Amino acid sequence: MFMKKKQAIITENGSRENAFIALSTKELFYLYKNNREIAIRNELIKRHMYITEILAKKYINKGIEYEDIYQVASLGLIYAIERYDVDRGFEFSSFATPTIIGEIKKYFRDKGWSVRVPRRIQELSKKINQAKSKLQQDLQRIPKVSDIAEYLNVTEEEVIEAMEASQVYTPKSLDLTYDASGDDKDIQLQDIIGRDDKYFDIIENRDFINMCLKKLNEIEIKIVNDRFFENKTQIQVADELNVSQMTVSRMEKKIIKKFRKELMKLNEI
Amino acid sequence: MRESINISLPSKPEYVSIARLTASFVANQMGFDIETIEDIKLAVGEACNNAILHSGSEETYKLEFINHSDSLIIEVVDHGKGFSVDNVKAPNAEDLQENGLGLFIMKSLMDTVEIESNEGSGTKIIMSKIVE
Repeated sequence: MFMKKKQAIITENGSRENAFIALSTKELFYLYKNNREIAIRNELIKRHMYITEILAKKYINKGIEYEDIYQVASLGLIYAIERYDVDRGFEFSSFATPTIIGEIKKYFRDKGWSVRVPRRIQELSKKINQAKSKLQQDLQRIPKVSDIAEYLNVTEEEVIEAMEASQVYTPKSLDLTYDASGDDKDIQLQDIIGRDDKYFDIIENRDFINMCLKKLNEIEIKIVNDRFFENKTQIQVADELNVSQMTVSRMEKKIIKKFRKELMKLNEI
Repeated sequence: MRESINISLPSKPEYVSIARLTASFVANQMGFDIETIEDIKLAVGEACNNAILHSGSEETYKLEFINHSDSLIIEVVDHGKGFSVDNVKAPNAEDLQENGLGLFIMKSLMDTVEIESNEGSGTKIIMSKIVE
């Protein structure tokens, strides 16, 4: 019965989407179940966009732009359409709602921001990170707060506050906290030796590594082992140690500094 | 020169930010760069955690930030349960306790860390960062 109806209403220019307009939503879902055609899905999306709008609006002014939330919610709607089983008898909207909300919440979590952080601070924080890298390059040293404040034309106090606010950090939190500063790039063994190739041989030398390890405490040794030899991510290591990713990142940098120190000592010989 | 900043905080996680911010301001005054400031903040955070976790019925703990011009000294004092310093073993990486790890983190990030503690009478953590 479906097929007859469908053929009867295919328009002259063969537009597939228009063909489905006359079908009821339930019929459309049945059709989609057996024939995963994009045109069918598009019509289903169109009909249910109102759910996306309603739910997205509930999350306004929590620190993330409406457009972004709307995008994420739309994706949620698509997932819901893909997974909905019309034979089960539930109303699609009651199925779609938790799916879409789930996607929105996941997005908030992944963004890593405390939902109470004002937009102004988030934006300043991003600018600070960009300024950090640029100034480091230009000045050839680690920038000071004053350098960044001058560069961005804000007060030092604003810089310090933004640096603090950008960390979602609660001491007893055993959850991961995300370093929103984005400077947790994967550190390779190469970073220890910088760009100078001649130290490659020394680094490969087990004795050198062993000597360095002697100067580290147990946690630092574990980090070296996990990150450089087992190639685990910072998040994995943070998980195992029950600390934040930020902590692992900072400790890595310290360890690299110590390695460099040892290298320089060798160089002086 | 010796300039000292003293704060007293409720033994609750939500106020640790104040300690970290204060540390940032003082460290910035002393000319530390932003990476060092972040390290100091993290170490201070760990020390505060310690104080809060061991606070028992004590409602507050204290911090003192001392600008010695060539070094920044931070003291975190609580009058909570305290612990036996000798019993803090090197953490077995497979089986970690929160506070044991905190001490090691502080030691990694700061130049010196001293702990005075006795069971029943509280803990004093003294850490320093030298101006380079």
